[in-house]
Amino acid sequence: VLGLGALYVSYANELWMRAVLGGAAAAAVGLLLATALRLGRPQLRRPLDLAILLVTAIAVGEFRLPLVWVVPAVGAVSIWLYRPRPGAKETHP
Amino acid sequence: LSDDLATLAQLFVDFARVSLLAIGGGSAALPEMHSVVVTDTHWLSDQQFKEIYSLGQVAPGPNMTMVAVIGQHVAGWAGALVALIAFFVPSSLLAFGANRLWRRLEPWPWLESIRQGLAPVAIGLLIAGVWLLARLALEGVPTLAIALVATAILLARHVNPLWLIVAGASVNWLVAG
Repeated sequence: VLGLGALYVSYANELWMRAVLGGAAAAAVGLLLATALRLGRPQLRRPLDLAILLVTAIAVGEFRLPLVWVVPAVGAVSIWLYRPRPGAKETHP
Repeated sequence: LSDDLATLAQLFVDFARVSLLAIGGGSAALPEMHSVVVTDTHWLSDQQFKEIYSLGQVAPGPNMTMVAVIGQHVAGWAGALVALIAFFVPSSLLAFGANRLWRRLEPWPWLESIRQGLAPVAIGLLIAGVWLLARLALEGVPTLAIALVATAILLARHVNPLWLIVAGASVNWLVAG
């Protein structure tokens, strides 16, 4: 990585380097999106999970709230919503 | 010298915090990482952040080894080392500890609640990471097309992501370079 980093520093201002890295970054967006969709397939199908997911994504992605607040707060609510209920059968397939 | 040490200490604390809280894995750390190194400290510009992340995708090893490049940019070789240690060691120890604890607590019913409750939070953080990178990287029809085609290919079949990165870079070079 650091070798590539050094290479990057020497050529960072070249126009072709801009284009090459811009293309790589765009492909990386696709990569991340595909990973998130694949990993999140079960969650994206359940309304409750989808709501928790959206709250987290908007708080962090749009409002840029610090993780120190978002993760414990949303996490605690979410865990509570999934609290063990004696007698109740698992509601999700 | 004390300025250098202060920078290294800040690098360590910030990167360790980001990696410990980003429960969705490496890319879930992107928005908080961006807040630290671009918005708060101005160590990097948006452009540099995006480009260094892309480099990390091409390099072998876990894709968040990009933190070493950021560390080096900020504080030289010592910075690279500190950034790597801060990003990977505390979170690995946490994962190791949690894993052992997990097995010990197996019959505890709240364990399943924690697992089910944190899964959507983790995916939400990943989506926030995609969102941030998309905002930085998609700047016109060619880049948008590259991102969508890469997504479609990866969802349809397992290919080595490196080839898609190389292909994206080549296409954009031909179109815009």
